[in-house]
Amino acid sequence: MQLNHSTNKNIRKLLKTATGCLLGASCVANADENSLSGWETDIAILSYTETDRVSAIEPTINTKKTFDDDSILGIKLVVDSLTGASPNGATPSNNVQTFTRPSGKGSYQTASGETPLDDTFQDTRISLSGSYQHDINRMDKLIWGANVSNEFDFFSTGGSLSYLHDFNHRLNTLSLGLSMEYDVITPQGGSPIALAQMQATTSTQPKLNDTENKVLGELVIGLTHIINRETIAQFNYGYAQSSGYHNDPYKVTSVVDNLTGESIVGDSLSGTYLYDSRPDSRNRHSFYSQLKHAFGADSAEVSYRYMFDDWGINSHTIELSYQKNFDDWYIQPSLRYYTQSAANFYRHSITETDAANIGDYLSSDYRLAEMWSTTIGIKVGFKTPDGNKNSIRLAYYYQDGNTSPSDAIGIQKDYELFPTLDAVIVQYTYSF
Amino acid sequence: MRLFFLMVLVCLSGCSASLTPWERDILARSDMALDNAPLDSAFNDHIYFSKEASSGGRGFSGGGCGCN
Repeated sequence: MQLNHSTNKNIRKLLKTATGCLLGASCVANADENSLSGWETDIAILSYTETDRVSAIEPTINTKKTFDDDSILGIKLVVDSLTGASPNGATPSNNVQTFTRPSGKGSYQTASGETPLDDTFQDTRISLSGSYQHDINRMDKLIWGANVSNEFDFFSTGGSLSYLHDFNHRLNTLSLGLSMEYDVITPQGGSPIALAQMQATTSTQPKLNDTENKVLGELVIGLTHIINRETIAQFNYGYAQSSGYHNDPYKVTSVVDNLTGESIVGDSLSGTYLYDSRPDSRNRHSFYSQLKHAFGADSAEVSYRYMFDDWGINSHTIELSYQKNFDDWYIQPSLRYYTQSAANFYRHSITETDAANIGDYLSSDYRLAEMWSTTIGIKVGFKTPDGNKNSIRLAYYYQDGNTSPSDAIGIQKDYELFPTLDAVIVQYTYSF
Repeated sequence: MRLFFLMVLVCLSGCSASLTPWERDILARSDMALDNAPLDSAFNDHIYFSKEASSGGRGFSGGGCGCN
């Protein structure tokens, strides 16, 4: 036992030193444990796998240190690696469909009757974020945050400041948070001209700029309320305003025949596919409520979120979980249900007649469609002999939408016009 | 939306006058923290941000992600 304890202690010390070094904390070869004591670290890895579509691996290190003055410094590093295929927005056809890759230097084909997927989706994202929380006085505190992330075609940087005020004998906490985010988008092959036709590789691609950008500002006002000895609640109102480039440069909309529903011949491709076009601003409002209650040694949580925006989307999200605690371990089943209405410029496809009078905006991105999703999960947490925490989480995500809309035409009635998806999520977390 | 305000009403109607420090033992349990698994929440936010049109609510909604 003595040997095991010593070994565990050494492993802990090594991990703490390695984490500190990796995240830029003091790194001295002979650093004793005291120099890194007080650091609490979580190491996690997430595996996300969609059936026949995207898969992702996301290792994460999150560490924080509480100082003598109760201030807390937090640092988080995430590496996100994705591969697989993603729907490009076009509808299925009775014929083989050919699409030009975003670079304009190659093409891919979709078999008849299949949902068109761009199978070249591949990216690695690195994200670094930090936060610093400190007291202003006995009842007030500030939390500063900053983050930067980079991937192949996207760079993002941002900052936030939150003010927290305890009152009413500390039964309530009022919070006010502001954040800003600046994104630079560099679509592969350049950003397509909105509503322009995708062209064959032999033709000039309708591309506008090499880079685009977007700015996001947010306000979150929250109230935490202790109801009684076993129950606590939280309410948030959030307002987010973004301006700039909101299009998905890799999505297109099919133009189909008025009667047959078959894709019509394009300028240089066998089908006509129009690039995504969205408003250059979006305003969102969200209302979030959460209730947590202890049932003896166990606890349960319920939350509800309502969101609406000026694109015509409104959504409802309900989450439930129950944690059954045992001496050295716990089990936590959870359930999430989400539903949203479509953006007012979403179309699964447009007819030739409609194409003559599209308007300014058009998108076939399934994420802007009417849809609903369910996540069923289970998490098991336990402690290692040295007292460190472990948890394993397994979840199944299923997303569905209006696969047979009433405005489907001709052959479209034979196909699913919403690309349903299911995914398995596995996460392991080790805390020391 | 109505569900949100219903939850607000129900929760605020159950006000307690005060809780002494020794009566906060249950609320001090790690599983009673409002976000007792921030990494899980962050992973979930990232997944849902990239698959659905809504994000945020519990906190800020920005994703810092292209998420195609």
